[in-house]
Amino acid sequence: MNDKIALLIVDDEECLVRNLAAYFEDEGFKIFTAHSGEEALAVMAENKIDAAIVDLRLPGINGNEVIEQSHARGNKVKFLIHTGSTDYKLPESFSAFGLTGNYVFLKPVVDMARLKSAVLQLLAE
Amino acid sequence: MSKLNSDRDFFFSQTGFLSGLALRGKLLSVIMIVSSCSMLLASSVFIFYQWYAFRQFLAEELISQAEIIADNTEVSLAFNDPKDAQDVMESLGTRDSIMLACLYSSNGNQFAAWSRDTAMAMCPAYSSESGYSFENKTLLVRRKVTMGDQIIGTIVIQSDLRELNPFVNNSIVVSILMLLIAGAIAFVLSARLQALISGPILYLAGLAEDVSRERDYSKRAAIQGNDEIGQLADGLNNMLARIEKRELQLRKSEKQLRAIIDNTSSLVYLKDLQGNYLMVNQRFADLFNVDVNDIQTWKEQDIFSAEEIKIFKENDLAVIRHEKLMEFEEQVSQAGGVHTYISVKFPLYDENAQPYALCGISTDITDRIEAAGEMRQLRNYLSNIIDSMPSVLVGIDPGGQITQWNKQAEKISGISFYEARGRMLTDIMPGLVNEMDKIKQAVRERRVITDNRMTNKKEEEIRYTDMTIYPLIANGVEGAVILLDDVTERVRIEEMMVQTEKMMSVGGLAAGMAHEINNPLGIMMQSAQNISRRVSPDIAANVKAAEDCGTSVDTIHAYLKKRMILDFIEDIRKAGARAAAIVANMLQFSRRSDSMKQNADITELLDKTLELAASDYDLKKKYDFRHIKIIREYEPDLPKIPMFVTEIEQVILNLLKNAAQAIAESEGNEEPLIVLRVRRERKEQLIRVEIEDNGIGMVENIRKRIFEPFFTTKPVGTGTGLGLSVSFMIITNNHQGKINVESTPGRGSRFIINLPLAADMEEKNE
Ligand SMILES: Nc1ncnc2c1ncn2[C@@H]1O[C@H](COP(=O)(O)OP(=O)(O)OP(=O)(O)O)[C@@H](O)[C@H]1O
Ligand SMILES: [Mg+2]
Repeated sequence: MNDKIALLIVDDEECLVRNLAAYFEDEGFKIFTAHSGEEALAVMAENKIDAAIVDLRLPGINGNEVIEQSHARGNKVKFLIHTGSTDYKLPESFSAFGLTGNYVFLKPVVDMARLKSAVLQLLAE
Repeated sequence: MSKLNSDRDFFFSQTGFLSGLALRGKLLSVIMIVSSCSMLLASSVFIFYQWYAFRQFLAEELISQAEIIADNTEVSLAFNDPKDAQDVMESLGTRDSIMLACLYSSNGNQFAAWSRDTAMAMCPAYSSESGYSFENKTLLVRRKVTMGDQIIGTIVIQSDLRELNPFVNNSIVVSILMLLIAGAIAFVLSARLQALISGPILYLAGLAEDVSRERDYSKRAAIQGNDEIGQLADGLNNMLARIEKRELQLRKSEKQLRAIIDNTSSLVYLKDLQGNYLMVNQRFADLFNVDVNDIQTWKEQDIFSAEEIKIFKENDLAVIRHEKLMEFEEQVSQAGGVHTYISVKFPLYDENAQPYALCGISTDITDRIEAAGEMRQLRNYLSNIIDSMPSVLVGIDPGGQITQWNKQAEKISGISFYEARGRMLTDIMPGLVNEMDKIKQAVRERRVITDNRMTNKKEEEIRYTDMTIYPLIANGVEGAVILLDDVTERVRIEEMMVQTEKMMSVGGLAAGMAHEINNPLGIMMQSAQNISRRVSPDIAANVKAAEDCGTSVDTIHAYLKKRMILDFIEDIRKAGARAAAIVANMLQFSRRSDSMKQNADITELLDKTLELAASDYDLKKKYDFRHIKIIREYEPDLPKIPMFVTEIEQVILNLLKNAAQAIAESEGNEEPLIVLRVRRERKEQLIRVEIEDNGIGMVENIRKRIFEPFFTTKPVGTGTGLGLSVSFMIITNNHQGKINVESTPGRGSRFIINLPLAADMEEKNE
């Protein structure tokens, strides 16, 4: 079970976290969850996380800052953005971490399989 | 008379022998000739008289001699003594001139004779007469010799005339001397006196010469008197006065004429028949920079080109040949380009009615031609504008009769201007009967009156018309121009824009709420997905969990299926998806400017979207691309155009789906067909995309509304009616392009999208 991908799901909406966690668990991922930016950074600091699905609008620091700080700390976590903000603009600097428009998902994601294939693709890069 | 005349002519005529002499010589000659002639005649008479008198004297002397001889020979005769008679007669020899003396007796016999030269002696025949006679340059004297009353003989003495000749000669010499002296005196006197007559005449002649030389008609002859010369001087003075007056008048009128000629804006010139300039006016001289006074100092060639001169010559010749005034249009290149002149040319005649010169008056009509050209252009321009305007333009006079009727009016009414002209507006356009009051008001109050959105029903459809009435007030033209615009289309678009505006505010609202809606939608659908997944026998965890609960996944699954729970779950998912789609579409109405356009190949995008549409076929929505023939007509080497790729993709996808749906709806369509056309419109700098189908097409009332949001003919749940309105938004608002449609019911539709090329692309093409 060591080869399980460690996936962090960050969202302030508990139901959403639960749904994604359920799906990815079923798909054989090792799931970590967080409901705020600060919590996410703490989880990443304590555990070895492969990838994270991050909501943008979070209480406290937002998704963008989580990604920035994580990279600033030298974490190698790969990020996907899962947001309800229709006017989200991806900061140019994120492409340096391999975070491009392909990995920005607007809610609602009707078929979670899309997220899964994106995570796999992101990790394969 | 004629003789007299000819004599006079001989002396005074210009060709007579005196003609060569001056007046003074003439006078002198006349005086001398006359005085010589009279003196000659006098001396001739004198000489003749001298001669005659002397001869008489000689005869009387000889007679007295004869009487002496007769007395002395009386006795001899009586005594018949010839010897004695002879002696008496011998005494005659003392006088040299006596040549012969003969004495006859009364019976006629010669009694005695004496002769100086015996050899020559020859007594004339006897005659009893007495007297004398001149015969053969001799004088013959007969004298009767009487004794008492009885005639006893006759004495005859002959003498030559030697004494006469010296006397006559002397007379001649004297006469000649007198003649010479008198002549000299006459010459001297007449030479002095002729000046009395010739002086004033010469003075007058000199004056006349001065006047004619100096052309100074103010001079006057200073001679008075009642004689002919005085009269002549008076006459001359009068004449001079009259000439002076005439000259002044002439000079004045010449000055006037010259002023007119020089100040006219036309070129005026005289040329002789050889084409040499005789006179030009100031304007001519100024224009061509020549000397107006010294015509000889310049030549035609200095001013005009050979080509121009050739044309002038032809025109001039025509005038001379036809001997009448003619008009020509002549071109002259001068400072400021080629100018056009209208030249009036006419011949000038001399006193023999022969043309000797040509006068030309050339007026520069370049400006006029240009103005006329501009005018014509302007008129064409105006009538073009009037005819090409999409509005109906009708001109009417104050009585309401049609005076103007443009192409659009012809098109809309089907009545030509020719037919409409002069007819009452209300006859031809009955719809305007109610508007006549407004038209009259506009004309009366001289103001523009507009009446917008007049409604009229045409073929069961409401049409909107804007009317504007312009009263004609300029240049005394009365009446009005009525402009009618069919604004139905615009009204519809405006209505649509209002709706779009509404949608945009909805969009703005949607953007604000999207997050709040999308989150629950996400939860809803992901939950549904998890439910379906977690009741599925395919997932290992499910099997285990079911066993833990003392049942099997299959049982649970069978139950859920039997109770249609799985269908319900699927319904939740679909409803969620629909709601999500609506929200997503509604978001399209909100303006965004954040993301950047990329340059993309439209044909590539078309092909990609077509693939997407084909993979997305949906039997429930009744379209299937697998049976549709796709024809691509792409112009090669098209430039990329800037666009939001996902948006254009969405537009094309909707068009393709619509087309497929329209085809599916057209029953019995043997050959379902979609044509994709892309070409470049170089002039307008845009790319034109056409998507054409041979589906059911649209009736007019549907076609007009398809871009309205939520307009759909599809069953509820199948179409939202947002597809085309979103497309319209994307194309016109986000891409500054155009989208429209052509359709024939039952035959198919064609959607046309125009997308502008990039600005820098346009420049490159220029
Ligand atoms: N190619 C076509 N041929 C005939 N009718 C068409 C065609 N395209 C569109 N229409 C008409 O236009 C209407 C509006 O189309 P639009 O794409 O806006 O909405 P929809 O297709 O009905 O719904 P949605 O696109 O949201 O599924 C359609 O309902 C149909 O009546
Ligand atoms: Mg549609």
